[in-house]
This record gives sequence, C-alpha cells and structure tokens, in this order.
Amino acid sequence: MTALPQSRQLTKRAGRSRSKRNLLAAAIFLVPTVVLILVLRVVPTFVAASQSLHRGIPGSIDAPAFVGAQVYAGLFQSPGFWQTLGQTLLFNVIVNPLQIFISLLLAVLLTRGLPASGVWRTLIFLPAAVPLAGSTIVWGLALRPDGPVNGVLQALGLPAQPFLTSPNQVIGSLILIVSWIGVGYWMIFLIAGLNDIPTVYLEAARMDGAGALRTFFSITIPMLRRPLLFVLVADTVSNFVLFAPVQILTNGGPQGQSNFLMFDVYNQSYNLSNPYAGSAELVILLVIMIAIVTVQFRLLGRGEDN
Amino acid sequence: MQVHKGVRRWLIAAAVTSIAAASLVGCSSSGSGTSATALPTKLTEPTKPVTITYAGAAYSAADIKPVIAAFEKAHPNITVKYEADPFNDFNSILGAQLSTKDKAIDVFDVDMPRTAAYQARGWLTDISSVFPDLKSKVDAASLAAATVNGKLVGMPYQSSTNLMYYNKKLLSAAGIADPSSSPSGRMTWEQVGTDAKKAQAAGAKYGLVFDQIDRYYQLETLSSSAGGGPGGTGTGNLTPAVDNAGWTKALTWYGDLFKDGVAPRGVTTQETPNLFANGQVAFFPGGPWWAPMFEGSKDLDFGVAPYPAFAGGTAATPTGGWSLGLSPTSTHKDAALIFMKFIGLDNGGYSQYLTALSVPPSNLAGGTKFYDNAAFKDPRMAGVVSLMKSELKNTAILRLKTVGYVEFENIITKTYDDIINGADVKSSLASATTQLKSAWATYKK
Repeated sequence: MTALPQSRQLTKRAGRSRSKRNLLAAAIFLVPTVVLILVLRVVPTFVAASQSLHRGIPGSIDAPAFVGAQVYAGLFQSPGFWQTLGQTLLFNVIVNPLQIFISLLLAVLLTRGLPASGVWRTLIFLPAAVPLAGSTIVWGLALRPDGPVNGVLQALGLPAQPFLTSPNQVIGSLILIVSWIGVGYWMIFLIAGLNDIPTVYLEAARMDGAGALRTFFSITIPMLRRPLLFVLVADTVSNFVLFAPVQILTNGGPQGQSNFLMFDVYNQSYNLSNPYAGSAELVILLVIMIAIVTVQFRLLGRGEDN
Repeated sequence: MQVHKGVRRWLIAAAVTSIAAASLVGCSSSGSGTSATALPTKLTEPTKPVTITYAGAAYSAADIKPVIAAFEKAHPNITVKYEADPFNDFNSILGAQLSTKDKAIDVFDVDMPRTAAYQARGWLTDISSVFPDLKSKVDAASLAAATVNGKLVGMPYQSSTNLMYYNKKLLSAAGIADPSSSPSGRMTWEQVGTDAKKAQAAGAKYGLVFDQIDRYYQLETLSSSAGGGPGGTGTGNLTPAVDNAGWTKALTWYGDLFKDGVAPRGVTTQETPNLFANGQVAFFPGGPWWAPMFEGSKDLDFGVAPYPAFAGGTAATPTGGWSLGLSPTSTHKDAALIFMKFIGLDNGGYSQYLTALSVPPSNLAGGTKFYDNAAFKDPRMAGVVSLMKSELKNTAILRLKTVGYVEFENIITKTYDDIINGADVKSSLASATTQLKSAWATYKK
C-alpha cells in the first residue's frame, strides 16, 4: 500500500518538472513577441499619453512644458477637431457594416458550389494582394473628373461625377476604394469559417424543414460567430487607422471632409511638428476604438460559452 | 498553481520593463536644449577621415553625385553620405529627425521660406562668424532668405525664377500670335485666360495649367500681383492677411479656370509637367528646370514668355530656393562647414559641377556660368537668359517670412485645393484666417 502514494508523489514531481520545462519553453517562445509588443505598442502608448499633456513650440528641440489637459481643451474648442471627429465616425459607421455585409454575401455565394468558384474567389481576393498605395494611385487616376470612370458614365448617358474633388462625394469615393480592397480580404476569413461549419447541422436543419433563410440565420450566422467577430473587429480597427488613400488622394480635403483622425494625427505630428496635439488626438482615437471594439465583443462574443 | 505563479511573475516583469522603458523614453525626449559648441572662425581641414551626412531634397542622388565627387576630390579626408529624401515628405522627415536631436544628420537642405521656423525650433546654427561677408558673393534675395534677425543661419546656394511656356502648335491652331519673350511685352492673366479658352476651343486639351498647381510658391504671385500681399502682416508677420480684396480677386480668377474646365481638377503638382510635355496644354507657367525635359520631346514646339501679371497690377515672379543648414548636434562641424563653403562659395559654388542645371544658383559668380547652360541654347528657349536675369532683378518676390510658415503653407495649400475643387472663395479665405489665427497663437505667447 505504501507503493501507491510513493508513485503518486513521483508522478507529481515529474509533472511539476515537466510543467516547469513547459513554462520555460513557453517563455522562450513568448519573449520576442512580448518584447515587440512592449516596444512597438505599450511604450508608444505611454509616450503618447504623456506627450498629450505637454506643449511646446512646434518642432522645438527645447523641453515642452507640462500643461495638464490644456491640449485636450484646445482640441475640444476647435471646430476643425469636431469636424474631424464627426467625419471619422461617419466614415466608419458606413464603411464597416457595408464591407462586412458584402464580404459575407460573397462568401456565402462562393461556398454554394458555383461553377468556377475558385476563379471568382481569386479575382475577388486579388485587389488585396496589390499594395494599398498602388491601388490607391490607380483609383485616384480612374476617379479623376476627366478620368475613365466618368468616361464610362458618360458613355452610358449618365452625368460625370466630381468624386474625390467634391466635399459631398469624397467619403463615398474613399469607401469605394477601400472596399474594393477590403471586401475580398475579409471574404477569405468568412469562407474559411463557412467551410468549418459541420454539414450535419445544415442537413439536420433541412430535414427539420428549415428554408434557406431560416438555415442562414439560425445555423450559419451563429456558427460563424467567431470568424465574424474577428472580421468585424479587425475591419473596424483597420478602417479607423486608414491613412494611405487620404494622404495620397485628398490630403484631408475637400473642405476637411476626409480629414480623418488618423490622418490628422500624422498631419499634426509630422507636417506641423506638433506631436502634442497629435498625441492627444491619438489618445482620443484609441479611446473611441477601444469603446467600439468592446461593444462589438459584448454583442457577438455573448453566448460564446454556450 | 505553479503555472499561475509563473504567469504572474512574467506579467510583473513585463510591467516593470514597460514602465522602465517608458520612463527612459520620457527622459530622452524631455532633455534640456543643446548647448551649441563654439564654431571655428577659421576652418581647418580634418587630419583623419571623417564622414558627414547630408540630408537633401533639392537634387536626386544621381544629380548631386558629380558635385559630391568633386568635393571629395578636393577634400580627401571628408566623405559625404548623401541621403536623398522625396520633396513632398522632406519637411516631415527632417522634423522627425531633428526635433528628436538625431545626431545622424550634419548638414541638410533648408527650404528657404522655412528658415525662420527652423531657427525658432533650434534646428539651425548661427554661422555668421564663419561667413561674415556673403553680401558680395550671393544674390540679395537668397541672403535675405537665409538670414533671421540679422543672423546668418544657412548657406544659400540655389535661387529660382519662373517663366511661362506656351505650345506654339496649339496657339497657332487657335489663331493666337506667339507672346513676346521680352519683359516689356508681359501678358496679363486676364488675356492668358481668354487665349487659353480659345486654344481649348481649337483643340487643346487644357488651356492653362500651373506647374505647381496648388502650391504657394507659385500662387503667391497671383495674390501679390492683385495687391493682396504675401498673406501675413504685423509683428513677425503673424497676423493673417489673406481675407482681402487682392487675395479674393486672384483666387476667384484662379478658381474660375477650374470651374470653366480651362485647367483640370484632380491633378497633382507631380503630374502637370507631363501634361505640357505631351502637348496637351496651351499655356504652362513654370520653372526653367523643366527646359531639358520639354526639349527632350522632339515633337513639342514651344516658346517662353514672361510670367504674366494682372491688368493694372504689379508684376510678381516666384523666387527662393534652398540653403544648407548646419545641425547644432553635428559632431563634425568643421567638415560640415567646409562642405557648406564648397557648395555655396568655392569657385562660384556647386553649380559648375552639375550637368543639367536649369535653376539659377545663389552664387553670383556661379550665376554667370549658369546662363551658359546648354539647356538655354535650344532655339525654343530663345530669349530666356535675358528674361530670367531681368525677372530675378526686378519682379522676384520671396514667400512670407514668418516663424509660423510651416502652418501657413499647410493651411494655404488646403485652401487652394478647396478653391480648385469649387469651394466659395470668400468663405474659404475666412476659414483659412480662423485656422491661421489658431495655429499662430502658439508663437504669439
């Protein structure tokens, strides 16, 4: 009878040393990532937060003075900042649901055994493989008032549009450009998610007499929750920090209508060498993004454990 | 439990490291101003090999290569590492490097209108004691642009001027006579606008396209010619003065070009020279530096005329260019100053080593050689040499001299873009005034 506790103790000891070894291995593998996260994410966030509480002559090599929340107060009193904030939210309220809706639609279509679906999938994904700056420049040329898109419109008897040069159409034009790229990219994640849904559920639903719509909303969407949550969060974040098309095509205009927060952070920090206002805007952007992503997690992450 | 303890230990370690790193960064970014080391009054050649870094945007690495080769031959102990930055991003790149006291740069190009701003930021070094007598060696406008409050803070090396190219084929198709190349035959903007429309009706794709379509460098001349001034007034030129009759007149005229389709919307400054080179534009007010490119288009029959002015207004042509600034953090100030002297002064300066130079150098002796350039011998450029000399002497205007120039240029460029895209001129200028007031408040405290 004494043999048993002894062997238990031995197993326990072996287990302890194994878990120690595992921990060491995990630590070694994690170190590079943790260091990168610290250097590239955590530290800059602290620096930005600290910088947003200071003010100095733009670009000056002299030490800035601590001014508390004055930089924030200045921003909240500036009509330009409110316009920036409003336009950023407007852009995101439209672009994120739109991109996810189209991606989901395409993903469902392309998993329905259409003829040559591989070719379609490749064609739709292809824009994501082109560097963003490159496709932005091509779109900029295409959408010029005397460019090919207007050529096609006029050939069809439709009036030419000002697109990026109009304060009323600039957001729509930017949505078109980023969606052309984004939709195919996010679609791939959703296709993977759809292919992961065990067919038994779909068959069971069919046997229970559920129609296509009922199956989609009661089986597909709930089973797709994880990839959908990822796509929703990642897409939202990428659109909030959208920069290249604004920098290359609109420079924040016309009339400040595309002066999104991320672009203004860059403009303040680098063009105007005013990292204090830039950092304050960055902190505000961060707070907004965290709030929105938290809501998204609450909505879609709910029922994850069931 | 073991695992949890381990994780906790890791989390604590991570938190401590991050706080330590953050405080380190905090320290380095909040250090006190640099104590400028005294400059030598007599430049001494280094006895050991030294490498200096030169950040530039005026010339590409290939264009500047013969100049640097000549310098290194004359000064064998000094090697120059040239970092070419794109013009559009140059100011932000400099800002990022110099405001963090980057020791990597010794010498850098200074866009002349930004001199006062850079000086206020502490990016430049007072070099008056090293070069006390530039007056007799460089042109007056360049010297004025490199001087702030009586201190020489840069070595001016390149100036500039503008003229108006026209496409002979497109004008003759519309029955328009070639404009004169003499300053006394200067056209009015009103006339150019009317002729541009005629040329467009006769087949030109665009009537009139400005080289720097939305940049203050070129468009300042419009508001200046219309009597609107450079855009700032009062102490330090820090009171906005763009919401006035002159600016309104000039920009209404300019905005109408786009409204009427005489000039294209949605085109960037980078694209405009190609439009003229491809024979799509009747009138192209622009820099002489495009001459080699236009001459390269064999089928392009063009001529040059004086830069126009508004009827009843004063003639105004763009000028200003580049200086070399010495970084206060440079650890090779001697070598850097020897390089600056070579570029700006030695034997007429850098321009003699360039093969395809078509921008006037600031150095007066170098200027003489510049006008002998092959680019100006092409028959299509007939009359350009005396025209450039006359414009530089009589009509050249510098950009607004103020410590708040960076913000000014940023806001004014956006205002131009809005007007080009059809925004109301009066309200755009009023909005620019509000933005300038808020941006310049920092400097008035």
